[in-house]
Amino acid sequence: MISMSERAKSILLVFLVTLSIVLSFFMRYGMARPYASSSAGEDREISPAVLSNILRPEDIIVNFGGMDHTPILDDSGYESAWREFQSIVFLGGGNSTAVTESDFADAMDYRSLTYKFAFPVPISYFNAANGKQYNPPVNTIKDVIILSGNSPTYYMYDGFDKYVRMNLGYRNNGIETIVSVNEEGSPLYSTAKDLGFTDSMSYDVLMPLDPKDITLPVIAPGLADGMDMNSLVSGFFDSGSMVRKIREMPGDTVYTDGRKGLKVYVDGRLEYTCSALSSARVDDVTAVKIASDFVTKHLPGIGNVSLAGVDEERDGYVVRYNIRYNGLHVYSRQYGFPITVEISDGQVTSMKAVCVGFSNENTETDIKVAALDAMDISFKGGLRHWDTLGMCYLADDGEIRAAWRAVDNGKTLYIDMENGKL
Amino acid sequence: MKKISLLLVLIMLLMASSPAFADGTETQLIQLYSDLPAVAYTSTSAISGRVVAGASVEVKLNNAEIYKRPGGAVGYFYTTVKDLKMGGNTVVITAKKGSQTQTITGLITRRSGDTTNSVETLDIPIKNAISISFK
Repeated sequence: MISMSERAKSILLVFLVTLSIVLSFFMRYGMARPYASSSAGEDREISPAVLSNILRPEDIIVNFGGMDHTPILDDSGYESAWREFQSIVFLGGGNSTAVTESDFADAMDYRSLTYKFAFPVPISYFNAANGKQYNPPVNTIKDVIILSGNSPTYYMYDGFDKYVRMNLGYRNNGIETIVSVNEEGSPLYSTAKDLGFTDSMSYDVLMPLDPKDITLPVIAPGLADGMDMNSLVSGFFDSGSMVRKIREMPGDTVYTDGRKGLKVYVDGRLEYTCSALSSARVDDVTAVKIASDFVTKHLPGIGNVSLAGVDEERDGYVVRYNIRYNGLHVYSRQYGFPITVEISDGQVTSMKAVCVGFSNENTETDIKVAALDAMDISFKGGLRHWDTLGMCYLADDGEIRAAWRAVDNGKTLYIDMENGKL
Repeated sequence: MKKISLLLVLIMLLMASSPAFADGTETQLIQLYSDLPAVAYTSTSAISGRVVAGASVEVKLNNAEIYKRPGGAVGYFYTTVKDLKMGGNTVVITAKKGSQTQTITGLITRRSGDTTNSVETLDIPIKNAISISFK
Protein backbone atom coordinates (compact mmCIF):
# COMPACT_ATOMS: atom_id res chain seq x y z
CA MET A 1 0.00 0.00 0.00
CA ILE A 2 1.36 3.42 -1.02
CA SER A 3 1.36 5.94 1.74
CA MET A 4 0.15 9.51 1.22
CA SER A 5 3.63 10.91 1.62
CA GLU A 6 5.05 8.58 -1.04
CA ARG A 7 2.23 9.54 -3.41
CA ALA A 8 2.96 13.21 -2.76
CA LYS A 9 6.65 12.60 -3.44
CA SER A 10 5.82 10.82 -6.72
CA ILE A 11 3.55 13.67 -7.81
CA LEU A 12 6.22 16.20 -6.87
CA LEU A 13 8.84 14.21 -8.79
CA VAL A 14 6.66 14.04 -11.91
CA PHE A 15 5.95 17.78 -11.60
CA LEU A 16 9.65 18.59 -11.24
CA VAL A 17 10.61 16.44 -14.23
CA THR A 18 7.86 18.03 -16.34
CA LEU A 19 8.93 21.52 -15.21
CA SER A 20 12.52 20.67 -16.06
CA ILE A 21 11.51 19.56 -19.56
CA VAL A 22 9.40 22.69 -20.13
CA LEU A 23 12.13 25.04 -18.86
CA SER A 24 14.77 23.25 -20.93
CA PHE A 25 12.57 23.73 -23.99
CA PHE A 26 12.19 27.46 -23.32
CA MET A 27 15.89 27.82 -22.64
CA ARG A 28 16.61 26.12 -25.94
CA TYR A 29 14.09 28.01 -28.07
CA GLY A 30 13.38 31.11 -26.03
CA MET A 31 10.27 32.29 -24.20
CA ALA A 32 8.99 34.47 -26.96
CA ARG A 33 8.19 33.54 -30.52
CA PRO A 34 11.15 33.97 -32.80
CA TYR A 35 11.89 37.45 -34.10
CA ALA A 36 9.41 38.44 -36.76
CA SER A 37 11.89 38.52 -39.61
CA SER A 38 13.23 35.10 -38.67
CA SER A 39 9.91 33.44 -39.30
CA ALA A 40 9.19 34.58 -42.83
CA GLY A 41 6.91 37.37 -41.75
CA GLU A 42 4.41 35.03 -40.09
CA ASP A 43 4.36 37.03 -36.89
CA ARG A 44 4.38 40.49 -38.33
CA GLU A 45 4.03 41.95 -41.79
CA ILE A 46 7.27 43.62 -42.91
CA SER A 47 6.61 47.11 -44.19
CA PRO A 48 7.23 47.71 -47.93
CA ALA A 49 9.25 50.75 -46.80
CA VAL A 50 11.97 48.34 -45.65
CA LEU A 51 12.32 47.21 -49.25
CA SER A 52 12.06 50.66 -50.83
CA ASN A 53 14.78 51.95 -48.49
CA ILE A 54 17.34 49.48 -49.81
CA LEU A 55 16.35 49.40 -53.51
CA ARG A 56 18.56 52.28 -54.52
CA PRO A 57 21.25 52.92 -57.09
CA GLU A 58 24.79 52.35 -55.92
CA ASP A 59 25.96 55.40 -57.88
CA ILE A 60 24.33 58.50 -59.36
CA ILE A 61 26.40 60.46 -61.87
CA VAL A 62 25.77 63.99 -63.12
CA ASN A 63 26.59 64.47 -66.81
CA PHE A 64 27.27 68.10 -67.72
CA GLY A 65 27.35 67.51 -71.46
CA GLY A 66 30.43 66.45 -73.41
CA MET A 67 33.36 65.01 -71.47
CA ASP A 68 32.52 66.40 -68.02
CA HIS A 69 30.82 64.30 -65.36
CA THR A 70 30.79 64.05 -61.57
CA PRO A 71 29.44 61.45 -59.13
CA ILE A 72 27.01 62.70 -56.48
CA LEU A 73 28.69 62.10 -53.12
CA ASP A 74 26.62 64.14 -50.65
CA ASP A 75 23.59 62.44 -49.14
CA SER A 76 21.11 65.27 -49.75
CA GLY A 77 22.10 65.54 -53.42
CA TYR A 78 21.78 61.78 -53.77
CA GLU A 79 18.33 61.80 -52.17
CA SER A 80 16.97 64.56 -54.40
CA ALA A 81 18.35 62.84 -57.53
CA TRP A 82 16.80 59.56 -56.41
CA ARG A 83 13.44 61.26 -55.84
CA GLU A 84 13.54 62.58 -59.41
CA PHE A 85 14.15 59.06 -60.69
CA GLN A 86 11.14 57.73 -58.81
CA SER A 87 8.83 60.52 -59.92
CA ILE A 88 9.85 60.20 -63.58
CA VAL A 89 10.50 56.49 -64.11
CA PHE A 90 8.07 54.83 -61.69
CA LEU A 91 5.19 56.98 -62.88
CA GLY A 92 5.22 54.78 -65.96
CA GLY A 93 3.89 55.60 -69.40
CA GLY A 94 5.77 56.81 -72.45
CA ASN A 95 6.69 55.32 -75.79
CA SER A 96 9.56 52.87 -75.90
CA THR A 97 12.09 52.37 -78.69
CA ALA A 98 14.80 49.74 -78.80
CA VAL A 99 18.27 51.30 -79.05
CA THR A 100 21.84 50.03 -79.21
CA GLU A 101 24.52 49.95 -76.51
CA SER A 102 26.27 52.73 -78.41
CA ASP A 103 23.12 54.93 -78.26
CA PHE A 104 22.93 54.27 -74.54
CA ALA A 105 26.59 55.19 -73.98
CA ASP A 106 26.20 58.33 -76.09
CA ALA A 107 23.33 59.50 -73.86
CA MET A 108 25.93 60.30 -71.18
CA ASP A 109 27.26 63.01 -73.52
CA TYR A 110 24.09 65.05 -72.88
CA ARG A 111 23.09 66.97 -69.78
CA SER A 112 21.59 64.16 -67.78
CA LEU A 113 21.74 61.95 -64.69
CA THR A 114 22.99 58.36 -64.78
CA TYR A 115 21.67 55.93 -62.18
CA LYS A 116 23.69 52.74 -61.74
CA PHE A 117 22.26 49.89 -59.71
CA ALA A 118 24.59 47.27 -58.27
CA PHE A 119 22.95 44.44 -60.21
CA PRO A 120 20.00 43.95 -62.58
CA VAL A 121 17.15 44.56 -60.13
CA PRO A 122 13.96 42.65 -61.04
CA ILE A 123 10.95 44.89 -61.67
CA SER A 124 9.00 42.70 -59.22
CA TYR A 125 11.24 44.04 -56.41
CA PHE A 126 10.33 47.64 -57.24
CA ASN A 127 6.65 46.74 -57.51
CA ALA A 128 6.73 45.03 -54.12
CA ALA A 129 8.46 48.07 -52.63
CA ASN A 130 6.20 50.66 -54.20
CA GLY A 131 2.96 48.72 -53.90
CA LYS A 132 1.96 49.33 -57.52
CA GLN A 133 2.41 47.73 -60.90
CA TYR A 134 5.11 49.32 -63.04
CA ASN A 135 5.47 47.56 -66.39
CA PRO A 136 8.42 48.83 -68.40
CA PRO A 137 9.58 46.98 -71.53
CA VAL A 138 12.39 45.33 -69.53
CA ASN A 139 12.26 42.72 -66.75
CA THR A 140 15.19 44.13 -64.80
CA ILE A 141 16.81 47.54 -64.33
CA LYS A 142 20.59 47.92 -64.17
CA ASP A 143 21.37 51.43 -65.47
CA VAL A 144 19.14 54.38 -66.34
CA ILE A 145 20.06 57.73 -67.93
CA ILE A 146 17.48 60.53 -67.69
CA LEU A 147 18.09 63.45 -70.03
CA SER A 148 17.47 66.99 -68.88
CA GLY A 149 14.44 68.75 -70.37
CA ASN A 150 10.75 69.46 -69.91
CA SER A 151 9.91 66.37 -71.91
CA PRO A 152 12.46 64.02 -70.41
CA THR A 153 13.71 61.06 -72.35
CA TYR A 154 15.27 58.25 -70.43
CA TYR A 155 17.37 55.27 -71.45
CA MET A 156 17.23 51.93 -69.67
CA TYR A 157 19.64 49.02 -69.69
CA ASP A 158 18.41 45.73 -68.29
CA GLY A 159 21.89 44.50 -67.35
CA PHE A 160 21.92 41.83 -70.03
CA ASP A 161 21.35 42.75 -73.67
CA LYS A 162 18.37 45.07 -73.84
CA TYR A 163 18.57 48.85 -74.23
CA VAL A 164 15.44 50.96 -74.60
CA ARG A 165 14.68 54.66 -74.91
CA MET A 166 11.49 55.99 -73.31
CA ASN A 167 9.94 59.24 -74.52
CA LEU A 168 7.58 60.62 -71.92
CA GLY A 169 6.19 63.82 -73.36
CA TYR A 170 5.86 66.82 -71.07
CA ARG A 171 6.61 65.99 -67.47
CA ASN A 172 7.66 68.61 -64.98
CA ASN A 173 10.93 67.53 -63.39
CA GLY A 174 14.07 68.77 -61.65
CA ILE A 175 16.82 67.01 -63.60
CA GLU A 176 18.24 70.23 -65.08
CA THR A 177 18.22 71.87 -61.63
CA ILE A 178 20.28 69.01 -60.18
CA VAL A 179 22.73 69.17 -63.11
CA SER A 180 23.10 72.96 -62.68
CA VAL A 181 23.53 72.79 -58.89
CA ASN A 182 26.41 70.32 -59.28
CA GLU A 183 28.07 72.31 -62.05
CA GLU A 184 29.77 74.75 -59.70
CA GLY A 185 32.77 73.47 -57.80
CA SER A 186 32.38 69.72 -58.31
CA PRO A 187 35.54 67.83 -59.22
CA LEU A 188 35.29 66.77 -62.85
CA TYR A 189 35.64 63.28 -64.22
CA SER A 190 35.64 61.87 -67.74
CA THR A 191 34.44 58.43 -68.71
CA ALA A 192 36.67 55.80 -70.25
CA LYS A 193 34.64 56.32 -73.43
CA ASP A 194 35.41 60.06 -73.42
CA LEU A 195 39.13 59.35 -73.06
CA GLY A 196 39.19 56.53 -75.61
CA PHE A 197 40.14 53.84 -73.08
CA THR A 198 37.41 51.39 -74.00
CA ASP A 199 39.85 48.84 -75.41
CA SER A 200 40.64 47.89 -71.79
CA MET A 201 37.86 49.47 -69.73
CA SER A 202 34.08 49.58 -69.52
CA TYR A 203 32.85 52.74 -71.21
CA ASP A 204 31.30 54.25 -68.08
CA VAL A 205 34.26 54.00 -65.68
CA LEU A 206 34.87 57.50 -64.30
CA MET A 207 38.44 58.86 -64.27
CA PRO A 208 39.11 61.98 -62.15
CA LEU A 209 40.44 64.77 -64.38
CA ASP A 210 42.18 66.62 -61.58
CA PRO A 211 42.82 64.30 -58.63
CA LYS A 212 44.38 67.18 -56.67
CA ASP A 213 40.86 68.63 -56.31
CA ILE A 214 39.63 65.53 -54.49
CA THR A 215 40.03 64.89 -50.77
CA LEU A 216 38.45 62.04 -48.86
CA PRO A 217 37.41 62.17 -45.19
CA VAL A 218 39.24 59.65 -43.01
CA ILE A 219 36.85 57.28 -41.20
CA ALA A 220 37.09 54.47 -38.67
CA PRO A 221 34.77 51.72 -37.39
CA GLY A 222 32.69 52.99 -34.49
CA LEU A 223 29.30 53.05 -32.84
CA ALA A 224 26.75 55.54 -34.06
CA ASP A 225 25.79 58.37 -31.72
CA GLY A 226 23.47 57.29 -28.89
CA MET A 227 24.21 53.59 -29.28
CA ASP A 228 25.93 51.24 -26.90
CA MET A 229 27.29 47.80 -27.59
CA ASN A 230 25.25 46.05 -24.89
CA SER A 231 21.90 47.14 -26.28
CA LEU A 232 23.07 46.32 -29.79
CA VAL A 233 24.11 42.80 -28.72
CA SER A 234 20.95 42.15 -26.69
CA GLY A 235 18.88 43.04 -29.77
CA PHE A 236 20.09 39.85 -31.43
CA PHE A 237 18.68 37.62 -28.69
CA ASP A 238 15.16 36.95 -27.47
CA SER A 239 14.11 38.57 -24.24
CA GLY A 240 14.27 36.02 -21.44
CA SER A 241 16.91 33.89 -23.10
CA MET A 242 20.08 33.18 -21.18
CA VAL A 243 23.01 34.59 -23.10
CA ARG A 244 26.54 33.54 -22.28
CA LYS A 245 29.50 35.76 -23.02
CA ILE A 246 32.77 34.11 -23.98
CA ARG A 247 36.07 35.93 -24.43
CA GLU A 248 38.33 34.57 -27.13
CA MET A 249 41.86 35.44 -28.10
CA PRO A 250 42.91 37.95 -29.34
CA GLY A 251 40.00 39.85 -27.82
CA ASP A 252 37.02 38.67 -29.85
CA THR A 253 33.77 38.18 -27.94
CA VAL A 254 31.19 35.46 -28.53
CA TYR A 255 27.63 35.69 -27.25
CA THR A 256 25.37 32.64 -27.40
CA ASP A 257 22.08 31.37 -26.05
CA GLY A 258 22.52 27.90 -27.45
CA ARG A 259 20.61 28.47 -30.66
CA LYS A 260 21.90 31.86 -31.73
CA GLY A 261 25.48 33.03 -31.74
CA LEU A 262 27.02 36.45 -32.20
CA LYS A 263 30.75 37.01 -32.58
CA VAL A 264 32.11 40.53 -32.26
CA TYR A 265 35.66 40.64 -33.57
CA VAL A 266 38.24 42.90 -32.03
CA ASP A 267 38.59 44.62 -35.43
CA GLY A 268 34.88 45.55 -35.38
CA ARG A 269 33.45 42.83 -37.60
CA LEU A 270 30.23 41.12 -36.59
CA GLU A 271 29.06 37.60 -37.37
CA TYR A 272 25.66 36.26 -36.40
CA THR A 273 24.42 32.70 -36.81
CA CYS A 274 21.15 31.03 -35.96
CA SER A 275 19.99 27.46 -36.55
CA ALA A 276 16.89 27.13 -38.72
CA LEU A 277 13.62 26.24 -37.04
CA SER A 278 11.14 25.60 -39.81
CA SER A 279 11.28 24.27 -43.32
CA ALA A 280 9.22 27.01 -44.98
CA ARG A 281 10.61 27.97 -48.39
CA VAL A 282 10.13 31.62 -49.37
CA ASP A 283 10.46 33.45 -52.67
CA ASP A 284 13.31 35.86 -53.42
CA VAL A 285 11.32 39.05 -52.75
CA THR A 286 10.29 37.75 -49.31
CA ALA A 287 13.87 36.68 -48.62
CA VAL A 288 15.12 40.20 -49.43
CA LYS A 289 12.40 41.68 -47.22
CA ILE A 290 13.34 39.43 -44.29
CA ALA A 291 17.05 40.09 -44.72
CA SER A 292 16.59 43.85 -45.11
CA ASP A 293 14.32 44.06 -42.08
CA PHE A 294 16.94 42.19 -40.06
CA VAL A 295 19.74 44.53 -41.19
CA THR A 296 17.67 47.65 -40.54
CA LYS A 297 16.73 46.48 -37.04
CA HIS A 298 20.11 45.20 -35.92
CA LEU A 299 22.50 47.64 -37.59
CA PRO A 300 20.63 50.93 -37.24
CA GLY A 301 23.74 53.10 -37.27
CA ILE A 302 25.56 51.68 -40.25
CA GLY A 303 24.64 54.37 -42.78
CA ASN A 304 23.09 54.21 -46.23
CA VAL A 305 22.50 50.59 -47.08
CA SER A 306 21.43 49.44 -50.54
CA LEU A 307 20.85 46.05 -52.09
CA ALA A 308 23.92 44.74 -53.92
CA GLY A 309 22.72 41.33 -55.06
CA VAL A 310 20.66 38.23 -54.38
CA ASP A 311 21.77 34.67 -55.12
CA GLU A 312 19.58 31.62 -54.79
CA GLU A 313 21.34 28.75 -53.06
CA ARG A 314 20.31 25.18 -52.38
CA ASP A 315 19.06 25.99 -48.88
CA GLY A 316 17.79 29.52 -49.48
CA TYR A 317 19.25 32.87 -50.51
CA VAL A 318 22.37 34.94 -49.98
CA VAL A 319 21.52 38.65 -49.89
CA ARG A 320 24.36 41.19 -50.16
CA TYR A 321 24.31 44.88 -49.36
CA ASN A 322 26.38 47.94 -50.16
CA ILE A 323 27.05 50.75 -47.72
CA ARG A 324 27.63 54.37 -48.76
CA TYR A 325 29.52 56.57 -46.33
CA ASN A 326 30.66 60.06 -47.30
CA GLY A 327 29.41 59.11 -50.77
CA LEU A 328 31.89 56.24 -51.14
CA HIS A 329 31.22 52.53 -50.91
CA VAL A 330 32.66 50.60 -47.98
CA TYR A 331 34.03 47.13 -48.65
CA SER A 332 35.58 44.50 -46.44
CA ARG A 333 38.87 42.73 -47.10
CA GLN A 334 37.46 39.59 -45.44
CA TYR A 335 33.89 39.58 -46.75
CA GLY A 336 33.98 41.67 -49.93
CA PHE A 337 30.53 43.21 -49.64
CA PRO A 338 30.10 44.96 -46.27
CA ILE A 339 26.94 43.09 -45.25
CA THR A 340 25.93 39.58 -46.27
CA VAL A 341 22.80 37.85 -44.99
CA GLU A 342 21.86 34.24 -45.52
CA ILE A 343 18.21 33.26 -45.52
CA SER A 344 17.35 29.62 -45.06
CA ASP A 345 13.90 28.15 -44.51
CA GLY A 346 12.44 31.65 -44.39
CA GLN A 347 14.64 32.98 -41.61
CA VAL A 348 17.97 34.68 -41.15
CA THR A 349 20.56 32.01 -40.45
CA SER A 350 23.67 34.12 -40.88
CA MET A 351 24.76 37.73 -41.12
CA LYS A 352 28.27 39.06 -41.61
CA ALA A 353 28.87 42.78 -41.25
CA VAL A 354 32.03 44.80 -41.71
CA CYS A 355 31.27 46.75 -38.50
CA VAL A 356 28.34 48.26 -36.61
CA GLY A 357 28.92 51.85 -37.68
CA PHE A 358 31.44 54.50 -38.68
CA SER A 359 32.92 57.64 -37.24
CA ASN A 360 34.59 60.53 -39.03
CA GLU A 361 38.13 61.17 -37.83
CA ASN A 362 37.95 64.89 -38.69
CA THR A 363 40.89 64.62 -41.09
CA GLU A 364 41.11 64.18 -44.82
CA THR A 365 43.39 62.31 -47.15
CA ASP A 366 44.19 63.11 -50.76
CA ILE A 367 44.73 60.79 -53.68
CA LYS A 368 48.40 59.82 -53.61
CA VAL A 369 47.93 56.88 -55.98
CA ALA A 370 46.21 58.07 -59.16
CA ALA A 371 43.70 56.03 -61.15
CA LEU A 372 46.28 55.16 -63.81
CA ASP A 373 48.76 54.07 -61.13
CA ALA A 374 46.03 51.85 -59.69
CA MET A 375 45.58 50.34 -63.15
CA ASP A 376 49.29 49.61 -63.43
CA ILE A 377 49.35 48.02 -59.97
CA SER A 378 46.25 45.91 -60.65
CA PHE A 379 47.78 44.90 -64.01
CA LYS A 380 50.61 43.34 -62.00
CA GLY A 381 47.88 41.64 -59.93
CA GLY A 382 46.57 39.95 -63.07
CA LEU A 383 43.88 42.31 -64.34
CA ARG A 384 43.81 42.96 -68.07
CA HIS A 385 40.42 44.63 -68.35
CA TRP A 386 38.68 46.97 -65.90
CA ASP A 387 34.92 46.54 -65.58
CA THR A 388 35.09 48.83 -62.57
CA LEU A 389 37.75 51.17 -61.23
CA GLY A 390 36.40 53.32 -58.45
CA MET A 391 37.30 55.01 -55.20
CA CYS A 392 36.07 53.30 -52.04
CA TYR A 393 36.76 52.69 -48.38
CA LEU A 394 38.29 49.32 -47.49
CA ALA A 395 37.88 47.91 -43.98
CA ASP A 396 40.79 45.70 -43.03
CA ASP A 397 42.20 44.68 -39.68
CA GLY A 398 40.32 47.31 -37.68
CA GLU A 399 41.21 50.15 -40.04
CA ILE A 400 39.24 51.76 -42.85
CA ARG A 401 41.42 53.15 -45.62
CA ALA A 402 40.72 54.92 -48.90
CA ALA A 403 41.38 52.57 -51.80
CA TRP A 404 40.79 51.93 -55.47
CA ARG A 405 38.57 48.97 -56.24
CA ALA A 406 39.39 47.31 -59.54
CA VAL A 407 37.10 44.56 -60.85
CA ASP A 408 37.51 42.36 -63.88
CA ASN A 409 35.00 39.61 -64.56
CA GLY A 410 34.40 38.91 -60.88
CA LYS A 411 38.06 39.25 -59.82
CA THR A 412 38.37 42.14 -57.38
CA LEU A 413 41.55 43.90 -56.27
CA TYR A 414 41.90 46.74 -53.78
CA ILE A 415 44.76 49.21 -54.14
CA ASP A 416 45.59 51.39 -51.15
CA MET A 417 45.24 55.02 -52.20
CA GLU A 418 48.10 56.11 -49.95
CA ASN A 419 50.81 53.50 -50.44
CA GLY A 420 49.68 51.60 -53.55
CA LYS A 421 49.71 48.22 -51.81
CA LEU A 422 47.38 45.52 -53.10
CA MET B 1 60.35 53.95 -120.35
CA LYS B 2 62.35 56.80 -118.88
CA LYS B 3 59.12 58.43 -117.66
CA ILE B 4 58.01 55.22 -115.93
CA SER B 5 61.43 54.83 -114.28
CA LEU B 6 61.32 58.43 -113.13
CA LEU B 7 57.82 57.91 -111.73
CA LEU B 8 58.94 54.80 -109.83
CA VAL B 9 61.92 56.68 -108.37
CA LEU B 10 59.63 59.51 -107.32
CA ILE B 11 57.23 57.09 -105.63
CA MET B 12 60.12 55.44 -103.76
CA LEU B 13 61.42 58.82 -102.64
CA LEU B 14 57.96 59.77 -101.38
CA MET B 15 57.66 56.52 -99.45
CA ALA B 16 61.11 56.95 -97.94
CA SER B 17 60.27 60.46 -96.78
CA SER B 18 57.12 59.39 -94.87
CA PRO B 19 57.57 58.71 -91.11
CA ALA B 20 56.49 55.09 -91.43
CA PHE B 21 59.36 54.34 -93.78
CA ALA B 22 61.89 56.78 -92.38
CA ASP B 23 63.74 54.13 -90.42
CA GLY B 24 62.90 50.45 -90.39
CA THR B 25 63.77 50.15 -86.68
CA GLU B 26 61.52 52.96 -85.43
CA THR B 27 58.46 52.14 -83.38
CA GLN B 28 55.44 54.31 -82.87
CA LEU B 29 55.27 54.93 -79.13
CA ILE B 30 52.19 57.17 -78.88
CA GLN B 31 48.62 56.59 -79.93
CA LEU B 32 46.40 59.63 -79.40
CA TYR B 33 42.77 59.03 -78.48
CA SER B 34 41.45 62.51 -77.83
CA ASP B 35 40.23 64.86 -80.52
CA LEU B 36 42.07 67.87 -79.14
CA PRO B 37 40.67 70.63 -81.34
CA ALA B 38 42.76 72.92 -83.49
CA VAL B 39 40.50 75.74 -82.30
CA ALA B 40 39.26 76.17 -78.73
CA TYR B 41 36.75 78.67 -77.36
CA THR B 42 37.48 78.05 -73.66
CA SER B 43 40.71 78.00 -71.66
CA THR B 44 40.49 74.27 -70.94
CA SER B 45 40.74 71.17 -73.05
CA ALA B 46 41.76 67.54 -72.48
CA ILE B 47 44.17 65.13 -74.07
CA SER B 48 44.36 61.36 -73.78
CA GLY B 49 46.09 58.45 -75.41
CA ARG B 50 48.20 55.40 -74.86
CA VAL B 51 51.90 54.77 -75.06
CA VAL B 52 53.52 51.39 -75.43
CA ALA B 53 54.15 49.52 -72.17
CA GLY B 54 57.13 50.90 -70.32
CA ALA B 55 57.26 54.23 -72.16
CA SER B 56 57.20 57.45 -70.16
CA VAL B 57 55.09 60.33 -71.41
CA GLU B 58 55.30 64.07 -70.92
CA VAL B 59 52.98 66.85 -72.08
CA LYS B 60 54.09 70.46 -72.42
CA LEU B 61 51.91 73.48 -73.06
CA ASN B 62 53.77 76.46 -74.49
CA ASN B 63 57.03 74.86 -73.36
CA ALA B 64 55.87 74.41 -69.73
CA GLU B 65 55.46 70.88 -68.40
CA ILE B 66 51.85 70.17 -67.44
CA TYR B 67 51.88 66.38 -67.17
CA LYS B 68 54.46 63.70 -66.64
CA ARG B 69 53.98 60.00 -66.19
CA PRO B 70 56.69 57.37 -65.80
CA GLY B 71 56.60 54.17 -67.81
CA GLY B 72 53.78 51.88 -66.76
CA ALA B 73 52.37 48.50 -67.66
CA VAL B 74 49.12 49.73 -69.18
CA GLY B 75 50.30 52.92 -70.87
CA TYR B 76 47.19 55.09 -70.74
CA PHE B 77 47.66 58.80 -70.14
CA TYR B 78 45.27 61.72 -69.86
CA THR B 79 45.41 65.27 -68.64
CA THR B 80 43.44 68.45 -68.78
CA VAL B 81 45.10 71.26 -70.71
CA LYS B 82 44.28 74.38 -68.74
CA ASP B 83 45.02 78.08 -69.14
CA LEU B 84 45.11 78.20 -72.92
CA LYS B 85 46.04 81.74 -73.88
CA MET B 86 44.26 83.63 -76.63
CA GLY B 87 45.86 82.89 -79.98
CA GLY B 88 48.27 80.07 -80.68
CA ASN B 89 49.17 77.44 -78.06
CA THR B 90 51.67 74.69 -78.68
CA VAL B 91 51.06 71.28 -77.15
CA VAL B 92 53.99 68.87 -77.27
CA ILE B 93 53.57 65.23 -76.25
CA THR B 94 56.79 63.29 -75.86
CA ALA B 95 57.10 59.57 -75.20
CA LYS B 96 60.40 57.90 -74.37
CA LYS B 97 61.35 54.28 -74.06
CA GLY B 98 65.00 53.41 -73.81
CA SER B 99 66.71 55.16 -76.67
CA GLN B 100 63.48 55.68 -78.59
CA THR B 101 61.64 59.00 -78.53
CA GLN B 102 58.49 60.11 -80.27
CA THR B 103 57.17 63.65 -80.20
CA ILE B 104 53.77 64.85 -81.32
CA THR B 105 53.22 68.56 -81.68
CA GLY B 106 49.82 70.19 -81.95
CA LEU B 107 48.73 73.78 -82.31
CA ILE B 108 45.58 74.90 -80.51
CA THR B 109 44.32 78.32 -81.43
CA ARG B 110 42.15 79.79 -78.74
CA ARG B 111 39.59 82.23 -80.06
CA SER B 112 36.87 84.20 -78.37
CA GLY B 113 33.40 82.70 -78.64
CA ASP B 114 32.07 85.33 -81.05
CA THR B 115 34.38 84.40 -83.97
CA THR B 116 32.71 81.14 -84.89
CA ASN B 117 32.02 82.32 -88.43
CA SER B 118 35.72 82.20 -89.29
CA VAL B 119 36.74 78.84 -87.86
CA GLU B 120 34.70 76.26 -89.65
CA THR B 121 37.51 75.17 -91.92
CA LEU B 122 40.07 75.19 -89.09
CA ASP B 123 38.26 72.82 -86.77
CA ILE B 124 40.50 69.86 -87.47
CA PRO B 125 41.12 67.34 -84.69
CA ILE B 126 44.70 67.26 -83.47
CA LYS B 127 45.02 63.70 -84.70
CA ASN B 128 44.89 65.11 -88.22
CA ALA B 129 46.76 68.34 -87.58
CA ILE B 130 49.95 67.20 -85.97
CA SER B 131 53.52 66.86 -86.92
CA ILE B 132 55.20 63.65 -85.87
CA SER B 133 58.91 63.31 -85.43
CA PHE B 134 61.11 60.39 -84.51
CA LYS B 135 64.62 60.44 -83.09
